Amino acid sequence: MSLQKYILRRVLTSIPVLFGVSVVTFGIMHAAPGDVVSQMVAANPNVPPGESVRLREEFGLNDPIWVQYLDWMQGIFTGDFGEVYSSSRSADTIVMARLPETLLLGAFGWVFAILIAVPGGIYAAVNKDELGDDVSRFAALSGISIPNFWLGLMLMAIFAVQLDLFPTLDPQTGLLSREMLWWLILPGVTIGTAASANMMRIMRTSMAEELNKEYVTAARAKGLPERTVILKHVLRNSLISVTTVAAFLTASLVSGSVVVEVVFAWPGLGRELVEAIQLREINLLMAITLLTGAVVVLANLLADIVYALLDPRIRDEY
Amino acid sequence: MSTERGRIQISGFETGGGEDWESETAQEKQEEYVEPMSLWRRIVSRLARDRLALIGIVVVVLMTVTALVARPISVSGMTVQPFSLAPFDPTATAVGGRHDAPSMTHLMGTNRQGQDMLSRVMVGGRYSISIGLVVTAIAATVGVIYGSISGYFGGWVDSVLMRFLDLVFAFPALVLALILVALFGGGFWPLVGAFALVGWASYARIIRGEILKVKQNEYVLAAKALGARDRSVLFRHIIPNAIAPVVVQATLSIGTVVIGVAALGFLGIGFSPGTPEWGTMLDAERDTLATGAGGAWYWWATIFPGLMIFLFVMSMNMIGDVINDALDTQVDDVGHGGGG
Amino acid sequence: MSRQLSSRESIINRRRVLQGIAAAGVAGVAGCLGGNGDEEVDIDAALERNEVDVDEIVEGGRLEFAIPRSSISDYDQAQSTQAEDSVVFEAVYDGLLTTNSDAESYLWMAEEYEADEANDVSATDYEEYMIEVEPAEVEDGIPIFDLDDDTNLVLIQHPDDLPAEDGESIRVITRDEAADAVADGVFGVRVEGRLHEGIEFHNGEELTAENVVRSYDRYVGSDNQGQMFDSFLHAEATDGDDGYEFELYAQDPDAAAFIELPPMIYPSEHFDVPAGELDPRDDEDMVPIGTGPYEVAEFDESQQLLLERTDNYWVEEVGLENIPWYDGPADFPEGPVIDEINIRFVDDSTGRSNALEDGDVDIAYELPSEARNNFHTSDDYVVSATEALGFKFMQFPMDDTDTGGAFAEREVRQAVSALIPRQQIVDLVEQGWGDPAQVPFPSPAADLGTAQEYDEIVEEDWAYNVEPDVEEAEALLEEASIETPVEVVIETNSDDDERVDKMELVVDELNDSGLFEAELETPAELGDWTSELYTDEARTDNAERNAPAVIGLAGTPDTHGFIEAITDPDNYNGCCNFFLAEGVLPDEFVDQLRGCRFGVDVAEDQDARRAAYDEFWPEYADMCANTIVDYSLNTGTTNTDVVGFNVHPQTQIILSYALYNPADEQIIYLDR
Repeated sequence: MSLQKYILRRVLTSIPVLFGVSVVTFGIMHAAPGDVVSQMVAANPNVPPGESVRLREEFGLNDPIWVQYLDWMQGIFTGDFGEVYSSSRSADTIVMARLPETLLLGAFGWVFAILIAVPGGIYAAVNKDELGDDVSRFAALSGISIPNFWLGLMLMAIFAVQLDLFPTLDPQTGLLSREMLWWLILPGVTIGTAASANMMRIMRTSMAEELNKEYVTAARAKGLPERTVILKHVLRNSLISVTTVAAFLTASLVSGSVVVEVVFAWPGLGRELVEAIQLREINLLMAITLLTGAVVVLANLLADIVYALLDPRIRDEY
Repeated sequence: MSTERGRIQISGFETGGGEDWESETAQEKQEEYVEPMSLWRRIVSRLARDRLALIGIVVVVLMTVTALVARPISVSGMTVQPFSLAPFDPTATAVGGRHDAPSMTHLMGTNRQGQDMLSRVMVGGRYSISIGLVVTAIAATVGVIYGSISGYFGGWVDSVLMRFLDLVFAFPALVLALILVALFGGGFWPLVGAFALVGWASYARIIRGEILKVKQNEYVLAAKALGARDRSVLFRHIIPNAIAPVVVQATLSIGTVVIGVAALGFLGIGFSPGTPEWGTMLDAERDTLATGAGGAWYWWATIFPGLMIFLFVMSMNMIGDVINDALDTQVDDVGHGGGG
Repeated sequence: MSRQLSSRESIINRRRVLQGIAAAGVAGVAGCLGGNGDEEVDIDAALERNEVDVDEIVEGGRLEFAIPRSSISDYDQAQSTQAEDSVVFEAVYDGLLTTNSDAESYLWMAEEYEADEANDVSATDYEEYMIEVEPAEVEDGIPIFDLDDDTNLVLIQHPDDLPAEDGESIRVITRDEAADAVADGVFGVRVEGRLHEGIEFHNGEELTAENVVRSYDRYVGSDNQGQMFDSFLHAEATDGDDGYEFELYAQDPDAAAFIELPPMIYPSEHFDVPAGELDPRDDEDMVPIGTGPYEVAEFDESQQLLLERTDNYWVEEVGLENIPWYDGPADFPEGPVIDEINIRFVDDSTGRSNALEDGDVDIAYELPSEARNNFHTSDDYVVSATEALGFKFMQFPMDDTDTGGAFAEREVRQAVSALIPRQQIVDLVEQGWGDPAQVPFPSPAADLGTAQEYDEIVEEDWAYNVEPDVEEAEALLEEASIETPVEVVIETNSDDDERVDKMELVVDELNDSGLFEAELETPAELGDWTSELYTDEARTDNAERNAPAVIGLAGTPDTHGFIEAITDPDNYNGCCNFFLAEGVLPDEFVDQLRGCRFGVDVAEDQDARRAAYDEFWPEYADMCANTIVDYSLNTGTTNTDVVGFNVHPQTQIILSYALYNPADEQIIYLDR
């Protein structure tokens, strides 16, 4: 099977997965007690009884569930992700407005992870079974074990509130302005910590493995300096496995962003998601889960493709 | 075109990162037949030798026992655990002042309701640890069965089951748990349910990968040739041999679940407010971060609950890491960790 | 019209509260790091008005104002249901009326405005004007109409045709027929008004009676439709569209109509914009345009909203001296003096406190109580507080079920009410920043609610006790036919920590009395929980479990809001009456309740209305279907750059009131 065919096939198989995501989200939202109208009228004495019936009718919430789903589906194909009922705005406008903030946060987390993980992993692998390795192993395990919301709270309490080094409020400058990036540091570090710890461990393992391979022994025998061997040959090969694993980390960044955005009041999609759930804004929630689902599926797909490029044997299994 | 480029890149390095991604957690080295007993022996001997792991075990045992004996436990009126190690009733208000700093009376200080932090933190382990264990047990069982069926039968069964698995993986775990708990309500069993629902998939994927490999082994082929029934082949021969990475995954995922439960507690949806669960306690004391004009930071109210989560998860992960090394499975808790 | 409420002092005297809980139990060793202990926080100073010396007012500057939301939910005020949206847009849209700090109404853009005639009508009196319309849909007996004209809707349905059935038409009054009825003199209340001449919108258009009349169109089909059109009947520009005189009509002889009828007033270019579409984030031409002192200058999706002072504010044109009631200093500014207001969206209270501390915002409200205490005691910040309109109430399931059903007996309800430690709840949980409930309405809603002074009425013998009274509770339960201890479950929503803390104190008190065996349950978050409560099953179930429900609401200055929403059987299974279905309360009681707001005498004469309430309060307290726990204080915190800030009891107008309100000579300026 050619690579193109393989990719095509993988893309086609992700469509039912995304379809499934939408069905599951829709189903969960409807199976749960309460809806957006009950949230709207919950403690609003200004809504006369009977008004909630009218609102449900207006939002189409009185229709059978499959009709509602088909309506939603029909909208999707025309690029209409439906309305956010409580603000009468379209869900995709809100998602697109929040997306850059979350992407920025995610990107920072990524860069931070790689900047820490790659040197850390190399150091650990080169000093395998020595003190340095133990220290890096301990650091990596700590990074994985520290709850990100607590880490965020502590960073904020110490560096932003007590020491006053970072702002606690959106600087209201452009997305890539200096102030904004400065503000980004604490949430970015918070979200990047677990990712970097995970990558560091993988980096160490794959480096250590490579270092045991014959070509390394051969290179060393040829008298190449250790530095050259490690940086030129070993690193390149082990980075490949890191790249693929990094794709899987995307899912963890998406999850992480929910909590981190809440801690730091970061105006991104994660916070929007929590709000959408609370308000039962089904269309907004559908749009966000579909987007995250697509990102996760896409990341996995990229990982597969990279793998397939690297190892043609994989493709034969499909 | 791109195929060519791919080939060029890997020429010369026969196995450059060449593991099957679907069993990305498993290495090829695991192919020889291992007696199930020796597996456990290997884990135990490795744990006994590793200092970090020993510390981890001590901490986990200590925290678990503390949680158990902190307050008496009674089951339907019968007291099954009479000890009461916690200095105060963790739910009793005003046993101290509002936000008293740590002192000899209140080693970890008090919270805004004058409740004793130490007592709350001690009891807090009950929620997180028990949910972690129960979820892992359920998720591993379901995942192993699901993955085994998929891997063993292969063909269209495998395809269908794996597509469903892709679906589960398309939701970031915490997001799905968040949606479920927020919509259907919190509490012990709802949390167990939500995390088991999102947690079983990793086991299924791991065991399937393992089984694909083990299946090719001679003794399995032999057993089949001798007319052994599917079920007996699966449970007698294949699963015991493929279980190693599952054990590792289970150890590591207890920590993940504990963090996840605490994260939902922190978001205010896991337990009802006032519950001495670590994440819920953090949520309740978030306001202490706002000190107002020159006010003091009641650091003890947020540091200790978080530290407990960290200590427990860290210890679990140290144990898991060593087991991982011992079994050479290279499970990396990818996609999880840190509340992810 | 501006009766001074002298109630404050009596309440204030009790408001010296220990900051710690130390008084309540074992005193811990006070930590040096904590700086806590037995410090007293005296909030009297916060309740005093911050006065401004007119000569020292500095013009200009940019105010950073934090609101507790992550974004504006809806720029379109006809559609928005979020209080925080109004906080911003009340500065953009001026109203026909304004209110002072005691929440009493004053004429504003209206030079004259008065309820002049009331008629004793009910839905059936409109019968001869009704037309038959077949509903497009019927859900649970409730008809949903789909009229051809987008600005038309059904106002009144014939009660005999309800509940509706599929395929059967119903006799109704739509806005079209309402005009005919009004022409024949069939209406509940008529309010006559006249606008000041020379009021301009930001776009230069002059405000005329047409703007008042046509603005109602924008509410048809909006999320606020139900609220607007449950009392509105008809509006007319009596001396033509270009004139200044208008008449507003209500469906019922409704004493609250003159407050409830006025809409947000829109310029003619927005008359036909459907509800929800007046939002510049979706269409940059759709910028809100009002007659208020500020215009929307800059905005984006979530982070940015900048208001700029308009250059044609109407008060300057009309002149303060032409505001009929104004008798303040002649040199008082004729509009706010701050040039720009930058709205900061900080939905987390910790974040607002930190932003205030860092100097990123100048004014913030809804801060964590501990931080607020620190701001209050600091010299660099000013906290302003006032009695407000939020209240927490406990509603008893009064059904006499076979199991449970304890609250069917009045004495049991009263016993629980007698044991609520109202003062302790305010002292400990609110740290003094609240008021224990003594009567069923808070002081800012007292204007039309009683002929007495508020501090007199709270001394009446039917008033709630602020300290738990075990003896009274015991005596009450002895009269009842029930054996003690009575098992009860107090239910409240899980997503409000302070509310849960308060109910824990109630449960403790009930248990300590030995008369009750109480438990606290928090079934779900507010929205989920109430949607379960608004069912007949829940009503029976809670009665069987002896489970009263506790939630909080924000009222309006209209007294009736504090009893109607939670007591009137018409609101059963709607916000916020869970248990008091038709027939649960005696008919005479319900009639008396309604008579305080609806009726020719109360609608025409405010003193008659006050007298009706004064007769009703003892009955209401004695019935004890609901009991009130506490009332909120509104507080706002500023740094010392802001001079003259006073917080208003109505959260929606915190910003617009602070900026400029001649009724109290209220103005803020920036002194940087």
